[in-house]
Amino acid sequence: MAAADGGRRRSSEGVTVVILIVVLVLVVLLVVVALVSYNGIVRLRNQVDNGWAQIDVQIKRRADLIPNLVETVKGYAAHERGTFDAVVQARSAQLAATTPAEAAAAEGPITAALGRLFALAEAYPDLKADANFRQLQSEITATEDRIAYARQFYNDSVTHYHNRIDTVPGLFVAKFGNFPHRELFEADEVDRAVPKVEF
Amino acid sequence: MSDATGFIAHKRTNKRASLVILAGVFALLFIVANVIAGLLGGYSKQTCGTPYRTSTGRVAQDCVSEFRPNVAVLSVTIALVAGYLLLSWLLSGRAALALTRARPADGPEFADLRNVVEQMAIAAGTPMPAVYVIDDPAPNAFATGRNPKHAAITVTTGLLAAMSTRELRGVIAHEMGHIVNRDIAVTTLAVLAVGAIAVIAEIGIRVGIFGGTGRRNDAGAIFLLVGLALYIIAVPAGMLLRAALSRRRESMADATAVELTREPAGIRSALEKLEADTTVVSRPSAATAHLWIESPMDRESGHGLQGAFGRMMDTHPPLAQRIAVLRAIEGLDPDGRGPNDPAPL
Repeated sequence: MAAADGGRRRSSEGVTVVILIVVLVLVVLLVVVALVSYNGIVRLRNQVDNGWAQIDVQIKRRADLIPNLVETVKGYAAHERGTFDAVVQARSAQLAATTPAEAAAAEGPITAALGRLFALAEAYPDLKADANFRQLQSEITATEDRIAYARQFYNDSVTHYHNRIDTVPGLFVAKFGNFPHRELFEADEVDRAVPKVEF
Repeated sequence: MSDATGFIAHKRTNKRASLVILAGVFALLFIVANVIAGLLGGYSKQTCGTPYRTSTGRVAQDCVSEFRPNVAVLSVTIALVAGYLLLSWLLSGRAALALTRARPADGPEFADLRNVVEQMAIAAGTPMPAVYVIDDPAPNAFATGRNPKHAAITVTTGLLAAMSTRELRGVIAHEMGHIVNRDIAVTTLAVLAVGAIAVIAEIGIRVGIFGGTGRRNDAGAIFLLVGLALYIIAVPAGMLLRAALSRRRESMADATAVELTREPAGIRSALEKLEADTTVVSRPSAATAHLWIESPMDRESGHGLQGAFGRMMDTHPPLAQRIAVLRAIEGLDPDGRGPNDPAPL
């Protein structure tokens, strides 16, 4: 009788141990999933920050080139005041921007104004022949190409980051850190869609 | 993979694959090095009894060999294997550049090339790789470097002459794909593995034929057998694996090129030009074949069994197949050609 009692106690102890182990394993698994997810979100947030820094660098670079360009054009077409003012104004508007959305909003006016400035070359052959002007024009065009590609990388990174913090498990994990949604850098023109590639 | 940063997840998979391959190569070389050390007597200790005279009148001595762990021999094999791997890892990029006689693209005539490379580096979110050119009329390009910080993109002058800016951008984006996907690290390791197996097989056969005289006859036979077995099975298997890895990575890099440039037309049109071009690189080398955008080897595509085997050993998928995939994305007839040379962007 006593022996059977002991056996029952031992087997119920065994069940408790098994349940404890299962719970422990589940908790450990949960913690591991949360940590991996957290690290992934941090990595994406850093990628977004890095992407924004890349756009910012190129915008500043273009802003540095513009005063020189305006001076050069003034030497040949001093009375085209309206065109210069538009460029200078658009430039300061973009430099005053503090968020990606503001900088993006200033992108349309600045490219349009620069386009009109470059178009002046057609009316002033001497300007068109000026080596300094051509050098600045090609540098600014190259910088605008870089802005376009930096914007592409930034917007893709933001989308990727948002997908991560808006879906499970990132949705829960993101509550334990500072993971705000970020603004897309959307200029006026329509973004070219990513073609889907499958092999 | 619906956006351009999708390749970053692929890069992480590739990084893990690199580590696995590296560990595998290290283990393989370590085992082989220790088997050789063991057969050469590095791990045995002979204890001999006092000499005695046999019934036939000869002097004899009974000796017993027993296994003795030897820390010195173990350390030497580890150092040798690790040294070999580290050296080839660090030098692989420079070796490829030297083999192909590439020179830095510094001059003003390469400003457009550097510009396109910088654009694609920005689109991929990586540091700007070094840019090299090879004076060769055959249009081709390749990327080297074990990670994006040590990367270089090399193009032939023939490529620059043949391609429009958009096509060049497609080609550079393809090479950038190899860099950000960490393909070079994986393929370099695969090449190292194949190379190491071949070297071991060679050593085995040589030791077996020339070294196995006298009392170590048995050991010699084992060396010869192991060497031959490696040559017959492991070397071709390694080469097939390397070729298969390389083919898959070419398609992945084409996909990344489309993601970075946002247009399949550039890379597609570039591949069509490469397909139509019949010149081959004047310094082709099987050692660097897997690096190029188009296989630099002049291989006749045969039919039947020979053709099938040839395709298995190819480091690149057939250009027609790569073009068909890209044309399908554009909504063009996969087997047709053109419209070529899209308008410059």
